Order: sequence, then C-alpha cells, then structure tokens
Amino acid sequence: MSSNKKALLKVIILGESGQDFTDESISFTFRRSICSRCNVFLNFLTYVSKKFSTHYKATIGADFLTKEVMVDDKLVTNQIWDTAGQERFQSLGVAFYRGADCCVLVFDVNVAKSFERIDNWKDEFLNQAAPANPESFPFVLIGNKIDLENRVVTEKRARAWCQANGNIPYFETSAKEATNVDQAFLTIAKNALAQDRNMSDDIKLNDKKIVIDNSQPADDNKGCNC
Amino acid sequence: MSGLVDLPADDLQDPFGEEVHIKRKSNATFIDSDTDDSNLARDLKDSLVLDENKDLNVSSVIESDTAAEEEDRRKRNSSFVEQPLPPEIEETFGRKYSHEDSSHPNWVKHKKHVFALSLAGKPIYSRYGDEQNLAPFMGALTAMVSFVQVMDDNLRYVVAGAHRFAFLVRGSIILVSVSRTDEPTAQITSQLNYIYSQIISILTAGVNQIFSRKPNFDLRSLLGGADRFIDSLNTLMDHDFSFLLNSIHCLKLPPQTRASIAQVLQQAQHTDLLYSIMIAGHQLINLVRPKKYVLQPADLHLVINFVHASTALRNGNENWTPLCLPKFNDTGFLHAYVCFIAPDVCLLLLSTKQECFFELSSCKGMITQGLNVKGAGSLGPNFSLMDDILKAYENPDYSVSELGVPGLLHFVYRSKGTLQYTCPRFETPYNTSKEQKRLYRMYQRVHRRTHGLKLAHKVYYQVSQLETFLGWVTAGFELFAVFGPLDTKSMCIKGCNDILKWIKNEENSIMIINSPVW
Repeated sequence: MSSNKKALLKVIILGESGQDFTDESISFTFRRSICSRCNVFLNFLTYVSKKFSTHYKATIGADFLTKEVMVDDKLVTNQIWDTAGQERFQSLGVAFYRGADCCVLVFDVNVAKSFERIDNWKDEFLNQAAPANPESFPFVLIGNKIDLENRVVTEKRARAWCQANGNIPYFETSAKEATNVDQAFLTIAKNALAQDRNMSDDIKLNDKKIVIDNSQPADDNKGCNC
Repeated sequence: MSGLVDLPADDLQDPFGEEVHIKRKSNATFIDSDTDDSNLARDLKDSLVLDENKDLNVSSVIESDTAAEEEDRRKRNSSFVEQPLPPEIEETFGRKYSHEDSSHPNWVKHKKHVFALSLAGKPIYSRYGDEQNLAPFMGALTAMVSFVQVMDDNLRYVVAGAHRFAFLVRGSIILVSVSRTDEPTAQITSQLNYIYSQIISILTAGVNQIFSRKPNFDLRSLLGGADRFIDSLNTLMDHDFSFLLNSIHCLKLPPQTRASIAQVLQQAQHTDLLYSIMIAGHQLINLVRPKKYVLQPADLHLVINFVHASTALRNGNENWTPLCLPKFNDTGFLHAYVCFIAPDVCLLLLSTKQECFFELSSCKGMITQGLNVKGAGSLGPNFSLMDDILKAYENPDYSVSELGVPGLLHFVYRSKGTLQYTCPRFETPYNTSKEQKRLYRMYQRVHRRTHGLKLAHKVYYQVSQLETFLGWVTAGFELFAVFGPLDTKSMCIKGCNDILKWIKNEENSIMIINSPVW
C-alpha cells in the first residue's frame, strides 16, 4: 500500500442548478484550460452528436472538474462530475454513476420545483449506481442561491427532508459570495472517506494458488505450440 | 522526379509467384488512414504506369503533395524530442514530467500519451503528468468510452488531425493512447494490451474482482510504485522489435555454448522449479521449461521489462518476488528468484511455491558454478561459458556486412515456428537514436501492410527517398529487409534470398532451435 498518493474521490453533482454551484466556486480559468486541452475530444463528440458546442456539458451533458480539500492534514482531490441538471447526461449511461464516492444533490432555494425533484434525483442515483449499502451511502444536500430575494424553500423544510432521509448533511450556499462552498466540499470528502474506510475490507486481492501438474503428458492447451 | 527509381512497367510482376504490391513514392511519407493509403497506393501505381509512357505530371503532383506533408511532419516532430533521463536524476526528482497536467503548455506536446483509468473514471496511470491532476481529463475519456458503449458499440479509435486516440477496454480498466507517431492503430492497441498485461503481472486478474465488488476502488493504492514498470514498457515498445513481432530476441552465441548453458541449467533442477531463464540485457540466453508449459513471448517480455525497470535488482543480491505471467496463468502469482550473476546477465528461477527461496538459491549456486568452469567455453582452455556470454553481450548480434549482401542496410527476420527473431545491430546510417526510431516506425508500417486485416500483402515492396523496403511473409517466416534507395528490385529479391541462406547457416547461433525442457 502506498501512502504517497493523494486520495481521489468521485463526486457526482445532481440537481437543478449544480452548474452555478460549481461554476463560481471553482476558478473559471482552470475550467477553461480543461476545455481547451480537450478540444479534440470536443470535435469528436460534436461529430457524434451532430451538434456544435464549445462545452462538454452541452455536448455530452457533463462537466469534469477537480477541487482539492484538506482532510486531517491530508490533501484530497474531489473529481467532480457535474451534470448541471441536464437530462442529456443520460447519454453517458451507467458510467456516469459507476463508482461514485459521494453524491451531491443541489436545488435552488428560489424554485420550489427544484426542491421537489430532489427525491427523484436521489432515487435515480441509487438505482443506477447501485452502491453496496444504499442506506449509508454519503449524500449531501445543497440549497443554492440564498443571496436572491424571492426564496421559497425554507431552511426548515430542507432540513426536515435531510432528517427524513437518514441525516443527510445540509448546506446553504451562495455562489456569488462562495458562502459555505468550501465547508460543503470538506464534508463531502470527510463522509466519502469514512464510507470508504468502512468498506475497505473488500479490497483484498484474491490471487489463486497456481498448481502445476507434472504427472500427466502434455494435453494442456496453454501456450503456443512452438 | 527525385527518388523515383527507374523500373520498367513489366517489373510489376510477381517475383515470388505471389501477389506483389508495388508502391513508389518520392519520400517516406504515409497517409494516416489505412483505406486512404491503399487507394493512394493504387492511384500511384496507375499513375506510374502512365508516367512511364507519357504523362509525367500526374506523379509529380502527388510527389509535391507528399513532400509538403513530409515537411509539415518534420516541423511537428522537431517541436519535441524525447530524451531519456539518467536514472539517478529520475530517482532524485521523482518521475519525469510529473509536474505537468493538462493545462501545462508542454503536456500537449508529448508525442505519445498513454493513460489507464478505471471504468468509473478514476485515474490509474498517465505516462506524462501526474495522473491525479489529470482527473478531469480522465473523466472526459470515460465519458467518450461510455458514450459509444451506450450505443452498443465499442470505441476503438479516433483520428483528429495528426493525433490518433486509441481505446481499449480490458476487464475494469480503460486504456487510452493519444499519439502523433503515425503508428498503425492495430499496433497501438496491441501496445495497450501489453500495458494491461503489465498491470495484471503486478496484481493478477484479481483486480477485476475487486472492481466488481467496489467500482469506486482507487487501483493506485495497490499498484504502489508500479509506474516505473509501465513507463519502462512504454519506452521499450517504442523501439524493441520483440513487441512489434511478438517474438523473442536471443543473444547470438556459439551453438555449443548455448547447448552447454542449457545443460548447466537443466542440471540445477528442483521439483519446485518451473522455469529457469537466463537473459543478457534484453536478450534471451536460454530457458528451460516443463515440456507442457511453453513460455509465451508476451510473458517473457514482461519478465525482461520487470528485470530492467527495477534498478534495485541490479545490485547482485538475491531477490525473491511474486510475479504474475498473464498468458501462463492470470489468476495467481509465480514466485521469482532473481539474481544478476554478472553486471548485465540475469538469472530468473520461477516457481509456484512461495517458500522455496533457499532451494532455488542453491540451484543458482550450482548454475554459477557450472557457468564459471574454465575450459567449458568456446574461447579456449582458460575461458568459461560466462566469458562467452560476456563477450557476446559486449558485441551483440552481428554486423549487416557479415552477410555480404550488396546494398543491404538492415533487416528483421522472424521465424514463425520458434517465435524468435533476429536482426543485425544498428550501424550507419542508423547510428543515431533518431534514425533508429524512424527506421522502427517504417518497419511498423511495412509490418502493418503485410498483416492488415483488409490488405495483408504477402510481398510488399516500397521505394522511398532514403531506402527500399521489402516485406515478405510466408507460412514459416517473415522477412523485412531494407536496401538503399537506388537498389533495383531484382537486386533486393536476390538479397532477400541471400539473407535466408545466411540465416539457415547461422540458425543455431542466432536462435534457440531445440528448446530445452525438464
């Protein structure tokens, strides 16, 4: 086991306004650099989908970013898969959900419908990702855009939902002022790492003992006939 | 009309009683796509026939096109020259280029990127740059693979300008190569297969079970410092014919010496001993195996790569390490006793038992003793078998001039029966690593022309500005020979026949004909 490698967590963002949530909290220049490096991919994807776009998100319905956080003096990289609430990421199929370490559900506190859909997103995730123990899988709920005036989903309502769903951590963020964003990512990383530790019994390498039978004449098809 | 060799149109007929594919171009440039290439070749052939009768313009147009392309390629290639870093520097500063990520201006300039990632999109390996920092890029690669998988199809490759993206999904691992080396896709895919085998060789196919239980698994936690093995394999695959031909390269030794070494190895037998392998540099000296367990070339390549990538083995100490040979059995480990018995001569004793280190260590004692008996070698009464090996290793293979074939610059011969190949050492004009690499790439393309699924030519002849290539594939052997650009075809054909005669004579010293068994 090597400890010099930093931990890497796959974090999936589902919900109505995940786009704003990550857009603002992660430096724009970094995002742009990813996109320009992957221009060739974009051309390919554009070709496949027969549509022109300059962004992954618009072409395949997902964006890929990283955000690093410190957990107990250890640097942890969150590999963020952001769908920005688009239905189109369905085109990525199960690969999008496969092997997620944490799922972040985002809603807009100013749009009631976005909160009502959170249940659907959660079910969809559990169906597709099929994690080993769905009851304890780390989710995080984010109420976004609290800086706007016309709020319709109260904090109380959101927290009640979290409690009913197994004490999911809840954060209210404002992309504009980056309120709580770092705190949210820290919790995401902590919970995902804790979950990972609980499941680490499973990662034993099962190598079989090789038994060589020298008594029989060659009837084995292994190897070439040279 | 520089570089065009004057050949009468009649000469397009078949010298070996088989189909001949003639392709003449003004220089050594190829078109990316296979189909385009064959069309172009056909067009060229047509135009050349015209050419010799009346119309000279047709082929000169083509010429200028390809010349421009070559110029373009030269410009591209000159922007980055791969230089191996001395090992001591690498030790001090960690992996070369590890500071780069996808936003680094140099990162995009590397000629051949290789990535490995899990099906969940978690990074496992990147040839250049720190794989962790490339996490977003890896995510995008996963997206591409699954985008096509959703349509019940498999993404094999994408050509984008000068770049070729080749994809391979094996088990729970996605392997991707992004290159602008003009290598045929089939060969890149075969290299990706080798990378997968290298990972399996460290961890066994048990990794796929881990992934099926835990798809979010970060394989790097098990792979540890395995990057160096994959790095070294990547470098090897860029110039070693073993991988291109899936064959073994033997050290040239007097036949009697090789037979005596086999005897020494056979005498040091132990019930738990599976394979005894002796290598010098990257070449095989001899190996002894059980009758029914042939060692596949692909497995031997991994063994050789393993020995050369681990600098810690070179200190002459005895080492004991688990090693999985995927072609032999990918579900479990063999246990390897590894010891350098001379600076570049390595002895490997492979066993299925984990607890027989001391038994194998005493086997090694017998072997070194046998190898150092004075008078057993071919050099005289004061010399041993080991002296023969060291002399052969100091001056490996042979000079192309030894064959006495006029115009012959280089060749590679592969015996299909023994899965071994032989080639002369690189000499002028192939004395720089740049020229050697160019030649290797040419061999790769000629190999592709004789092994493609659609157009597998049994005989392939090509004249370029710098050399004439002849590829000849039969049921028993493959021969790829390089002559000067002005050598006539009949001269090349005669040359090839002379090579075959020479090889027949030397067969016992350049190859292992009777593979010793327990």
